[in-house]
Amino acid sequence: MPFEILEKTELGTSGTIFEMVVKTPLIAKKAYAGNFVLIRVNETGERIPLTIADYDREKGTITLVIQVVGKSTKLLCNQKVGDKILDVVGPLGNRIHVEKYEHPIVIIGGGIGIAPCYPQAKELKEAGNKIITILGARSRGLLIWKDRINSVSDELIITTDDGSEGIKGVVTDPLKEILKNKEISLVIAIGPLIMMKFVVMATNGSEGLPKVKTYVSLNTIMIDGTGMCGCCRFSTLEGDIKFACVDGPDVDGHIIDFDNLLKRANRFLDKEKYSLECYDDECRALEKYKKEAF
Amino acid sequence: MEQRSLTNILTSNISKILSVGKYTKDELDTLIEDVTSAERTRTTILEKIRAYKSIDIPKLSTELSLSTKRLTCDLKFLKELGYLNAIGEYPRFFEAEIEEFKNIGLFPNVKLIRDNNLCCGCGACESICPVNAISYSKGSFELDEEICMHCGLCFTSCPRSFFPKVLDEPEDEPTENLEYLKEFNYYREILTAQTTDKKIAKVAQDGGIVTSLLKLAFKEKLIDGALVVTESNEPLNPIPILVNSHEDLLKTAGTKYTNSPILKKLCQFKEYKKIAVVGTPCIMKALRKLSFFPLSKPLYENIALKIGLLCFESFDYEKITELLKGEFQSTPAEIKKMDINKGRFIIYNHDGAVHDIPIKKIKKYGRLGCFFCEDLTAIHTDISVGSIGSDAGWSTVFIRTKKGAEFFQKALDLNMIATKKIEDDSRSFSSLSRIAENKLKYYEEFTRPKTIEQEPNIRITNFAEVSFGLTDNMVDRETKRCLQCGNPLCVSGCPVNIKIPQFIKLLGERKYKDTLYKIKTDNLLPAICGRVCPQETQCEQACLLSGLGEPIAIGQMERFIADWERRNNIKECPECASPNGIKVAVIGAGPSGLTCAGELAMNGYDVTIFEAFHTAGGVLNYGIPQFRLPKEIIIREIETLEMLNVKLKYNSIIGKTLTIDDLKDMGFKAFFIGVGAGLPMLLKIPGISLIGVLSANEFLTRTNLMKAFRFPEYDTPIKVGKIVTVIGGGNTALDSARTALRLGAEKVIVVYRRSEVEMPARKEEYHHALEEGIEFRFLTNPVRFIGDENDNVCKMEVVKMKLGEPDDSGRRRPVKIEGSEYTIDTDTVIIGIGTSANPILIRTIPGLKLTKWGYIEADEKGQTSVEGIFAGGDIVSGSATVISAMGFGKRAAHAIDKYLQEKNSNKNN
Repeated sequence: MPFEILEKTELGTSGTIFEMVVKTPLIAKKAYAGNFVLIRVNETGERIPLTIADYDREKGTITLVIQVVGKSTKLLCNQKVGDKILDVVGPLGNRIHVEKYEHPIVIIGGGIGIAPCYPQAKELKEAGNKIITILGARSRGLLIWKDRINSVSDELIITTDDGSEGIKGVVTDPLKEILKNKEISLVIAIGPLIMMKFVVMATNGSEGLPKVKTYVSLNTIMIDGTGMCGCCRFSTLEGDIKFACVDGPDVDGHIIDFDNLLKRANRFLDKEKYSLECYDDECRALEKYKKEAF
Repeated sequence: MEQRSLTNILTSNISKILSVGKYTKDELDTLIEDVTSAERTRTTILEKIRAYKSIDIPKLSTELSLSTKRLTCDLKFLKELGYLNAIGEYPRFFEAEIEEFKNIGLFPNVKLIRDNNLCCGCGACESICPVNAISYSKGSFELDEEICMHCGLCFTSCPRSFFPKVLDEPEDEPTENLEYLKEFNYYREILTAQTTDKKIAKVAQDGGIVTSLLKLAFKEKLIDGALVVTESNEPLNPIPILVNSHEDLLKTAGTKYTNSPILKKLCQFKEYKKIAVVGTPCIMKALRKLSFFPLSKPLYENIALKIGLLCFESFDYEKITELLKGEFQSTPAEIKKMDINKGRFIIYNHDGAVHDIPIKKIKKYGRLGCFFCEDLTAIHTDISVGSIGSDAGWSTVFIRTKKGAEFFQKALDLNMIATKKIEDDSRSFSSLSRIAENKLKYYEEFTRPKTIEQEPNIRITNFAEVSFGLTDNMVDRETKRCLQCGNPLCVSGCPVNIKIPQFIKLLGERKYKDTLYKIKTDNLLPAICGRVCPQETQCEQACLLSGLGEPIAIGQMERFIADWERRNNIKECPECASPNGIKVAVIGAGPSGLTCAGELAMNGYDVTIFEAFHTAGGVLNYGIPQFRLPKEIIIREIETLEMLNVKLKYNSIIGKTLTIDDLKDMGFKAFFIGVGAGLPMLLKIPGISLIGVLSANEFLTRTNLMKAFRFPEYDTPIKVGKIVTVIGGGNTALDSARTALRLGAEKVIVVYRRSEVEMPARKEEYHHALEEGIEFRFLTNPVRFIGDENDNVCKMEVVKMKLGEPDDSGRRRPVKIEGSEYTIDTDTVIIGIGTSANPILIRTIPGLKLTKWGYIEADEKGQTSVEGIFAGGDIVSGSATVISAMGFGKRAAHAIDKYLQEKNSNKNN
């Protein structure tokens, strides 16, 4: 039974980021911060993991925030309100651990990773924690969900690479300042791998700053999302193998071998590029046909 | 065959043989002389054949001054020893076993016959053995290897080892006055007859013909002894005896015969000049063979009269007891007489009661060796006698030889026997003929059909199915090969107990719809099972014919009929019980779940299958490649389930999307967990995280489930390098290897730590892989993967292994050979070393007991430690086969049915 798109909103001004509200009653009932879904848009589509950015148990919906990076995300973002996604399966992965910590929690969202920070901040705040949020984007136009995140944060810091909003710089700059000055119980980082790597370097005690427990959210390539294929696996610094889908997606950042993970993330890059080119050609051909036909 | 093997063995064992006392010095000398001359003749024949490079019987016959019959028998002998392989004449069976004997020119011993269920129980081998190594009792024999001198005489004399067809031809020359019918062979006359001797009539089973004829033979001094059977102290367990007067004979009359190895006594009566032998067709066949292979002259030269008994099939004493108990709640002591008439098996009790059941019900008690027999009327006799085809108190008589005819005439002249002719158009004749025809077998060696397949060099460029299966003509022929044995071992070999002989019979009659119906009652997925079941270790291994190396192609026939259904857009669906409205949840749409669901639906349950993926089939879909099992077939077979009103809910991960408690709230009353063993095992060795090292699960799921082989039409990508190495020796490993080839790999190497024989993959798949050019490195184990500067795998270091002591699995444990490491260049490594249990669902069920490996603990019916929850397939057994999972599903369905029925009746009480 396909899953209907109830709402679709463009986020920011880049034209590449969209928020979609999808009718998935069963998943909405069970979803928590940290969970993700796997979706397959149509019969020929691939299965891609998307973190649940919000859920509404009453309405039976989940919210997904998608940035166009390749064929599959583009295909998804080309769907309109009322269209149906062929397969949505979940909620997968482990929900985050929620408790009242002694000290504040720093939640860092980078780029598209800002969206999944929302439910985490919300649930942790509801548990009585003080939440400091740092949001980072390349520029203002890519900054999303600022107000929404603000609503569940005690303190909100924004950084942009070009300085078009907030502090000019990267998320680790304010993080390091905070770590120098305050006792922090937990750091959560969601965003590009390279960002998470630098956050981890700042919190693992290697840079002279106090060591703080840090969770990062892995958005690796997946197929089944239930531990079956091992596609999403990552290596710990000690050489153990873990699966993002069943051991994560939120995992202790200090144990991850980021260098290996960064390489693994790009292993299908050429194919992904080719796939996108083919899709663009197809879209253009379709446009042309439509124009000529009418 | 320049050697004189048998001569040598006998010569070098003279003192041993003489000490046993079976042969006198003179007899042994004669035997050795005969054997030597026979071996010399065969050497000459072989030389000629080698020179001419062909067999020209008339030419050879003239040149060697041998009768055609003699020559043909010798050729058969040579062929069975494997000496004619070069000109395309292969031994009938035991190719592997015979290999070692071939080199020395001797046959193996008869244990081979016994172990392949071919033994007819005549006992000839016990008599022939010069050193008394064989002793026959209780339906079988033991052979003392310590005493055996490996001369192969027992095998040579055995009627079941090989039998030259030419010996079925009439013993008499000329052949005038002979009639011939395929089902009766050669005969002069068929009569129905009755003794005129009141004393005999009183004790006889039927017409008293055998006793009358023997009485006459004694009187006329035609014989001085008769080898017959008599009652032992166990009723229905007769023992062989030699009587030497007609008075003694009368005591044996009316003996109810079951299988009795009377020829084991043959060697004890050498001092008799002329004896009569009375016995079943197999006994007569053994005598016929003994008469032509002059191996032990004293054993047959004194046989003056052969009287055969019509026999449909014979029963060992234990089986008779079982039959009487099982079908009549009776015991041998209560039985006066057993008979077969008008398709019924009849017993007459001493107390006068008569009971009968259809013949087909008794078949399963028959002696396995009997299912090879096609002789109802004892064709190798002077006279054959039996009740079939005659009225009560009369016997049917076949007069076969001139000797038999003259002798019978004498009995008539003396008014000892009254006769009526059985006319060709009489009812008796036609029923006799029909029963005899039923026994005919159309089994031939070397005719198991080979499936039509895509050529290896073509098929490695596509994903189309390798095998096209069989044509209808091939299937027609194959159905005829089936012995239709009464105790079908194939059915017990099948984990879901498909009624194999019945479906083969229907298939042979081209009743295709009925065939489908018959199969689907036990197995709703025949197109799948016909393709992916390891028949060679299940039904086909159990097939009686597998002893001869060529079992019936059961799997191919199952596939054939399922393909016919699909091609013709027919949907045959078994009958269901009326819906009972009770909801049962099946978790996982793999082989066990689908089977369980189908079985429950047939019993009227309201079944919903919850499947994690977007499509059904489980491992059939994500694991088994398109070229072995086209996915359209899975879709079609699942339609059968939908016809049974089974509902399928995709994208439903129980334990995530819904829990067992949710399902309980939704009204489900019982649960079957068939989620498989999906977690891939990865090697814990350095370099496992390198790019290009992946699990077979990932590789196959991308290709099969996500159709990456059609990228970019399908969005899921896959990468295959130039040199792909696959680690493992199971079907998954081989599937990966063959898939890699089709995806464009230039070279594929399979690395397996044990040797070829331990490989768990299906033989067929291994064979196909070899044909496709896949390289195998056995006894080789990876040590580490080596990457380039970008973390792409580029080499694999391996170490050579040797086999040590057997491990828990009974296979010899591979042990590393120190210092034998070397590297293999490779850019893609696929790890297919097995899978383990997925904990997602099972850890959400409180109280569910697991094994130490994390599989669900369940009994053979699938009951877990939690009430109402059943489980089966790989999640219970660990990685196994599709069909064994289906067997599990079926058993669990029955257990669920029982559980729910009991629960309901408790509620009502």
